[in-house]
Amino acid sequence: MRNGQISKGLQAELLRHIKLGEAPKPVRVINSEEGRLLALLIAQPGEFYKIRRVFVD
Amino acid sequence: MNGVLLVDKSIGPTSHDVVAKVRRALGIRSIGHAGTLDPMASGLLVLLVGEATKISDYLLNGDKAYEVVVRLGVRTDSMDMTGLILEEAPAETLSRLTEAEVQSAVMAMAGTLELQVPVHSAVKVNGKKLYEFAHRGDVPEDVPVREMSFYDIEFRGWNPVTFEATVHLRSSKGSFIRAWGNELGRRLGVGGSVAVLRRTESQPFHVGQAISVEAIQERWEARKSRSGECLGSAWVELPEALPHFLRLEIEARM
Repeated sequence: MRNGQISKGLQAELLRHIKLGEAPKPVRVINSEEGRLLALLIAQPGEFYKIRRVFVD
Repeated sequence: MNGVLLVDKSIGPTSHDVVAKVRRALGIRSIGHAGTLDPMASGLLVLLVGEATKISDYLLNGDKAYEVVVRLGVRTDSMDMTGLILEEAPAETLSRLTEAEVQSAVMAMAGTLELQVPVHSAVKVNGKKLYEFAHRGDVPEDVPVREMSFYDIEFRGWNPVTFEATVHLRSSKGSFIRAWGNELGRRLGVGGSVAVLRRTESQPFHVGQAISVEAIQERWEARKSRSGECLGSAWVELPEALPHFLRLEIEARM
């Protein structure tokens, strides 16, 4: 995961959480195995999510 | 070690002093704070440790709550009692103020107000911080007026001997409690300055979770591991630091 890029798999996962007619909530992406915060994703009005912050160990 | 450390700051030190002390105590250089607390104020100061310094933007935008004591009858250049007194109301005028009058004025000050920012603040005018002008005694004429929002106002009492009103309130980003206290005095026609200020919340955190710098030093010295666990509720691991963000768990390869 790098700044600005979202993989197809993550995109599909995000789409499952978007509710029609609601502003998309900001997202924290957590590594399910280690529980580590990987990234923050924010969607600006009229745009899809973009990676805004990436975290390292 | 990456996470949020919640400090209950005492009256006196600057926010930077607190950061410096905690850096020394934990032996970690990468520590910042999310929202300055003036030296005369106490209460919740949110420190960001390690990778958590990257989330400051998302915490700075959060609303804050304060307990404030406004001394009526005194107007100062800093809008708090540490400043130079510009005007004092006569005791006879102040003794005519009733608790009901003060309460009514306090409760009318909920909502969005257009207030002048304090000259002792880091708000910039012509590229310079206002306090830099103020320290030189050269305050510009065009001190900015901005919209500030205050809500959930609770009147907690009026002391007719010290002429102090105690209030709990919440405010949005960019709002100055000192400006609110100054305006309360103006509306009552006697002037007012903040005498005591304590931050009780900085969303999503509450001062009840925080501990003093001294307690941090003691607990860290007595710790058994290099994790923040010894700091109890004052330590929030990075993945939990933005609970208002949707939590999405993925496999590392995604």
